[in-house]
Amino acid sequence: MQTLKLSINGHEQRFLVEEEETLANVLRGKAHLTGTKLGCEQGSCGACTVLVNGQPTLSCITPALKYQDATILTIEGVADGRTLHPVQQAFVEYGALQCGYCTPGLVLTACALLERNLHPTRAEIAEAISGNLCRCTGYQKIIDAIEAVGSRDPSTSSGQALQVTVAERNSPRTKSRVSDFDIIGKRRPLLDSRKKVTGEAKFTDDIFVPNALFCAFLRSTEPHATIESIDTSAALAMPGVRAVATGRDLTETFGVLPISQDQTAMAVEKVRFIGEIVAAVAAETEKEAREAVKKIVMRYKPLPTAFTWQEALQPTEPAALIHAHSAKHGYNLHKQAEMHLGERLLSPGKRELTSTMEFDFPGINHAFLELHAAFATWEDYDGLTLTSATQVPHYVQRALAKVLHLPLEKVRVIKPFVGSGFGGKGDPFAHEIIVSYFAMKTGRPVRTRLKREEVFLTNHGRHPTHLSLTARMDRSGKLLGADADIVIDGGAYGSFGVVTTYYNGVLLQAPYALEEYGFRSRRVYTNKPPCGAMRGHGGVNPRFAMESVIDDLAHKAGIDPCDLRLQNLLPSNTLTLGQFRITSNGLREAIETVRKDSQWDEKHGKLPFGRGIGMACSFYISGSALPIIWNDLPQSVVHLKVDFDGRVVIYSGASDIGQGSNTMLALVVAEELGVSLEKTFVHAADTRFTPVDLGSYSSRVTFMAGNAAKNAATKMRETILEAVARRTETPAVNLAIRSDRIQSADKTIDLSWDEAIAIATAHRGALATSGWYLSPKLGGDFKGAGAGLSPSYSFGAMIAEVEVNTETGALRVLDLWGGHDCGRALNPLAVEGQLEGSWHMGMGQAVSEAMEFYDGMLLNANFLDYRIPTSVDIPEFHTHIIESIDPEGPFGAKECGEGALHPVIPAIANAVFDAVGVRMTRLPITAESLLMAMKNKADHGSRKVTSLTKKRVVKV
Amino acid sequence: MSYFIPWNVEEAAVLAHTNENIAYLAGGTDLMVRQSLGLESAKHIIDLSKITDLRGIAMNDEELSIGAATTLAELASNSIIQTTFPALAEAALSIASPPIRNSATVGGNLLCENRCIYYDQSEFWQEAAGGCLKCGAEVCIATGSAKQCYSVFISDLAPVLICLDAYVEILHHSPKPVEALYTGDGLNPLTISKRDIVTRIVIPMRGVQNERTTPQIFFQKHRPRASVDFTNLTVAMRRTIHDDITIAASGIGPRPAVLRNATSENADVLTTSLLKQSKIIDNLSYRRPYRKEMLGETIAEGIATLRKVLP
Repeated sequence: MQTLKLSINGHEQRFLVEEEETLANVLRGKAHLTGTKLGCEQGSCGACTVLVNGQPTLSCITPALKYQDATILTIEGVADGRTLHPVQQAFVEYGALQCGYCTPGLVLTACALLERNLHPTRAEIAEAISGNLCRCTGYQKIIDAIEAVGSRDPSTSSGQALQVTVAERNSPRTKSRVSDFDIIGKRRPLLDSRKKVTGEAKFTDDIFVPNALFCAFLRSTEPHATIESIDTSAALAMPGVRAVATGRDLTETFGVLPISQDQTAMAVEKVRFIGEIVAAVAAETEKEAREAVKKIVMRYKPLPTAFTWQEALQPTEPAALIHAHSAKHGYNLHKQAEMHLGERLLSPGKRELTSTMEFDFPGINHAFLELHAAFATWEDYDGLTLTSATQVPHYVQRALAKVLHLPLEKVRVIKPFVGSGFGGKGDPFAHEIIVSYFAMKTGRPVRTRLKREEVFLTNHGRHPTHLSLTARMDRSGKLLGADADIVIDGGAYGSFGVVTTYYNGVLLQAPYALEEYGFRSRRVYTNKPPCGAMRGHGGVNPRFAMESVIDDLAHKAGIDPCDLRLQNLLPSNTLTLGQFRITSNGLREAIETVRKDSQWDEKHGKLPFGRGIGMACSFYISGSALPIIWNDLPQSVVHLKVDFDGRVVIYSGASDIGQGSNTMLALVVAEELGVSLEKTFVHAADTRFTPVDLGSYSSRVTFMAGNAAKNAATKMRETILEAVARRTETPAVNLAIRSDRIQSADKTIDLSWDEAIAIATAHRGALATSGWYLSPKLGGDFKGAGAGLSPSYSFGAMIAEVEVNTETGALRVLDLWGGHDCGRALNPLAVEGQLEGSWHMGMGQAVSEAMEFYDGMLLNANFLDYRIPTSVDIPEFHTHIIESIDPEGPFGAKECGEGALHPVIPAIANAVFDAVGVRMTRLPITAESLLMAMKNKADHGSRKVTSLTKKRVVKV
Repeated sequence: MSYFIPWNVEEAAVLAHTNENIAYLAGGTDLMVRQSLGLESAKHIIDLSKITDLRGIAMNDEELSIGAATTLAELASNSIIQTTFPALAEAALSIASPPIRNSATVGGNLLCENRCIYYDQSEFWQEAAGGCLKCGAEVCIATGSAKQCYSVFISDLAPVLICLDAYVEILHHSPKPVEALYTGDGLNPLTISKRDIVTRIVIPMRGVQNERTTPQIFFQKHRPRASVDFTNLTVAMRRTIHDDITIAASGIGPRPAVLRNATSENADVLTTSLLKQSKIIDNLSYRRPYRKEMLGETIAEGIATLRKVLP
């Protein structure tokens, strides 16, 4: 131990630190400045950035003692008291943040940049922040914000000047229809933005838990093996260790779907993938816990393995199967689905065109910045309380009750600020159950935080997929039918996989009108970390296939790809072949908008070799109409309370994971009730106090929780108006609430909100209403008809322009023009954020991301080798919100957070085809794979090769 | 564990020779990650970052001297470097990401541990894999060989410095040309010991003036993303007034591949001779055939570029 003296945010402090202790650890653990985040602990993500003597420094890989006597600025020291620094202010106003986990590092990096260069160009800004990964925003709004600060006039006071600049530059890029609304439809920062730019937002691991033990996990080093013995005695004898657990302590199974209860908190009897938890230790400190798990001795007896979908399809002896229930199939099958929709057409006529292509997709990880973290407490009266970075407190509550054999009312789950999820925090997880178990066993609070490698091994990401698709079209360009064969590689457990198996097939029945559509899909188990739901769940890979095949048909028929799609669109208010009920549909407008904005007609097929433009469309659910767990509960309930103080408290179980659902709830309630946003307060995602919302997945929250909130607000308005009507002896129908005033049409009654609340609460006290949403009965009655049903669907179109270096294969995405039909943009700034974030994530899957395995071992379980795009890799986004005003969405709104991802990947691949004439059917499209494809094309195709020794492809 | 902060190089050397299992820390961006992965388990860290003798950039008629603990950000923003050796600034700016460059040093970049996707893994991973040759196991995962480790030399500065005939000064030893720092053995890539301290990197100015204002150097780096990533192939080329070409490349094998005073301008010939020095194997993000092909492609582009600037 040595004494370390630091000046932190202008305050000189001394700490006793361990020799190997990192600066991040001192700041977070000893100075209690938790605005400095841990994202990778390897210096690859930038979440831990602080300024050391003015320089952005990665505190997670910096020994604290290296900076003896240094001056440190953390995010907590950036604002001037209550006045935000101009950079913070700009981040707030430009929507340059969503979950807020990368925000402190980015704000500090921006401050340092502007300190040495007050007027940076956009390229300089992108370069300066290129060591700070953001998974939510797509960076463009961050660059906008920093640029705006730089362009302010230094002669005026900074805050004021910034306001002006922001107002000017932050003008809507998107068309918004004439609005009768006071609150919705305006560009607004997320209500918790301020907390996120100041470091005040507390994520799970930021919350100080007195007297807590730390829980560390031992993970299987075998991909598939019988556990012969576990010896925990040495671990128990280690200093600081208070408890050790193994699979036998928690044998009850769980899983997010009732039909896939196939996982245990720790492996019992056998392990199924490298990285599966086999034992856990709770100790006084993190270091002691991590040291102690290494002392547990495991003996395994290896079993035959299946690492790929091809291996999983091989006939397998029952004893070698990953799950016994596959025995009836004779191979590692988890789930199969088959469907045929529409009339079977005769075999293709001569005048028909067909296109068949085979696709391969690797697994994709959510790569959210916040590490999985949770802590649990037990108290006999309170029962179990788990605080966790989760998207689904409701399902976690149920899983904890089931596995720990507790009554549901004794389980409380709290979701604090969450550093995004994208589906990766959408299952109940083993670590949540184990810390709860330890809390019950020891009576002490127990916390954990996974390492980034463990987060990757926990996975539940997008399934590796092999897909073959055929589509048929007549010569006039009318699509006739499509047929798909799909195998998805589920990894070792079920998770959402049954849904994924169906989604891969059923989500292709729109947005195009088909006469016939069929698919067969199979999900197999492999000895790899389980796959589950990830942004665009189940639809992203088949969408890539469909849009590629359609592009191919357009090319073969000599029809413009935009025209071909326009010609085949399903209309509004129709049914698909599988009886999905399409209501609002803004796809035609979306295509026309991006076509015009991108100057498609001047570019497609006309750009020089190496440069190309491509397009694709999307279709996605806006909330699953069927609940995961069959019961008669509404899918979302919202409670409102108005007490004497006039504040409107909104209680909702919905999980804000950075996408902004709390802000959405406040906007909807304020609009419907007629009060200003300042009067609302959202209390969310605490299962003891908030009514059930099923969770943040399947793009359901705006639609379902939004409708529940609107319903509760309608009831609250009626309650208040009835009370005022009684008191004033005016019919309630003559009264309205708007802008915090209760008025009659003729203004003879004109009360302030507080006056009205005094009337409404008289002799009864606080007002409470409950609103709910339950999907209408939808769909057909054939097998599988329920999959993909949604009360509404989103649509979108995307055009990508790319440049391919024909010598190296390097692909540069230059521009993305996207139009997404979100029904109505309740908050256009937040909608743009969702769209741009989706595009960034889609681009990652298109060009650089893949989970790579070697013998069942994940090769790239870190942010260095799992390559999410940085700020210098992204194109320019041209963002268009299309508003089709959904008849059933809250104020016409539907989803915008997932559907937008789908068209990016095929648009890029189709642009590559336009650029260099090759169809990329495997992702990601790397420089390497693209060059190889161009060479193959040159060797076998029509384009001639001028110089084989130089291996250059030349357009002829 | 102990953490020493010596104030001069002599003190550092004494600490290094009186303790077992030491590691020098300059920027720490390589060492600390390796420590956390369990690839390094130094018990005594000797922090060189406070030693002023190891910092700073100075130029006279004879030479340009760069302190080994100068950060990459300082190197890239130094006006002498920018005007006299722009390729060196370009190489520095291509390394890792901006915050890494604020800590990582010139010496650290030259002495950075070799990389391999099967080696740069956690203790847990290595346990599951049964270890790689460089981690003390019996065979290399990448090749199945029991003898040779082909972990890759990944410094981006070294190729440029080699083209500039730079040498390093080493405390208590005679200077060495930069390329003489490397053994070519992936298991022990450096010719100097863990206790040696590289103090300065020196670029002789003789000859530089003859090439008009600045030496004409072509620099190119291949990697998947435009930031953060380590190199998968870095090539520096210099064409002198004598019309010969020096090529130095990293991202190939365990040491930089170097060709001096080549007179051929045939990219294929040059590529073949470079590849004779080392073996590219599948152990980085880009695979072997692509890296080989890009080497040829980059050399061809380098020749064309240098021909343009020095017709």
